[in-house]
Amino acid sequence: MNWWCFAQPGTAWNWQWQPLIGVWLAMLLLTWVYQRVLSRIDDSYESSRLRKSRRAAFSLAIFLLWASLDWPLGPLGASYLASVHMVQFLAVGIAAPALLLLALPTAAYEPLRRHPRLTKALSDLTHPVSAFFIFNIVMTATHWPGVVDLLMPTQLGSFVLDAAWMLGGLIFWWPLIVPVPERPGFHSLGKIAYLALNAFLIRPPFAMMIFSASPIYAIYELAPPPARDALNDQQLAGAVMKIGIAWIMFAGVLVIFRNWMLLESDRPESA
Amino acid sequence: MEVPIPKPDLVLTDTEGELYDLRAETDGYLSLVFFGYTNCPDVCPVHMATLAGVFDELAPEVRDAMKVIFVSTDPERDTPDRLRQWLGAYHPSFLGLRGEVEAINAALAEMKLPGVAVVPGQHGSEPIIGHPSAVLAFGRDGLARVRYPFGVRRADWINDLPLLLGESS
Repeated sequence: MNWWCFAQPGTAWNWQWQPLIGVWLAMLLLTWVYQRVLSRIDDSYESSRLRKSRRAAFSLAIFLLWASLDWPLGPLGASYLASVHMVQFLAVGIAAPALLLLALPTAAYEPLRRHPRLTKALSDLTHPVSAFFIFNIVMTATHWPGVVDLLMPTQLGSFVLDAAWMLGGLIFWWPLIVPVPERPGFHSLGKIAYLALNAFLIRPPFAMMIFSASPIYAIYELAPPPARDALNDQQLAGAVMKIGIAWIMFAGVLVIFRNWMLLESDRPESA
Repeated sequence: MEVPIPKPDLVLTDTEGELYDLRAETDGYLSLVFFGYTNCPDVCPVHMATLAGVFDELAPEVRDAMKVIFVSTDPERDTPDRLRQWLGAYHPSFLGLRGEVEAINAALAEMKLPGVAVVPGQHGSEPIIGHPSAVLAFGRDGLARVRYPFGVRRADWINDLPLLLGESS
């Protein structure tokens, strides 16, 4: 019995269900923490619709995390198909962090203000420029062939990669979603530019996956079926990464633009 | 390998049903010889997929001077049609050979490789055939100087094959 999915080179894939206890425990822990946070704050100032949306966001985040890390996608992505690995990245490193931050009412972040050092640290760490660099460095490092081939064959290494994705994603979305610390200078237009830049940026792993003449990851190159042509799968993974990120960022742009327009229309007109 | 291994004296049948003398037919070519079976769940498909990818990347003059030969260690299930279809899915130039397991075992022993071992399937599943996981690269002179174990990557093959051709010319 395994607790986290990991690459098992040379092992043939079979459709026999495998329990991944660590994934279930992580989902239970996240749910427990979420319920505990909600029970400690008063979010009645938010509309019923908004509260429902937040709970739906949390449920969707947990579903995405569970579906992408548990069997069969977890082992398939860890050991056999780079394209599935990239779908996992989109779920764990991009979509789920945004949904988890959106799932918390603004009141849940207010206690952070009572800790000046923490607020200062968050202010630096989640400054849009820092967040941009941290996210892209984490993303590049966790897709670097040497790092992937080194970490993926162990459960701990595979967990570290997933955790790094999640942390990188939380830092990336923090300045866009979380109201603490306040960033009055980070206007909606700046937020849209931040997302657009990340959508169009050509990162080294993407370039390697698409343009390399040979497979760059040993674990996927030497994986038995269902892997077939490792190079095609790698190129598909590059396309999934690029198109997936672009669509998620585009969705973010639409939401920010909509909120911006609503805010502008609510503002009283000056004489 | 410290001592080069000569190409075994092995006459088998190709997928057209014609006799195929390994030494005579591959004389003057760089020959990559692998012993496996088409129902293999792990090593064989990986080797064949890797070599297929390598073939597409090689210069035409290198490709034309090479033969990839897959010798079935499971002649009962690997019918000529099955062998042709399976290999063709990887690369149309890959050649499939089949014959008596005794003859194949004798050739494997000649090359100091482990023989074919049949492990009966459990709970009605198909048997698993034990076979060497290495690919032997026989130079143009008929001697194998390199044995490629499972795990050799495409980039290494692409680097090595032109060198092997040059070495054994």
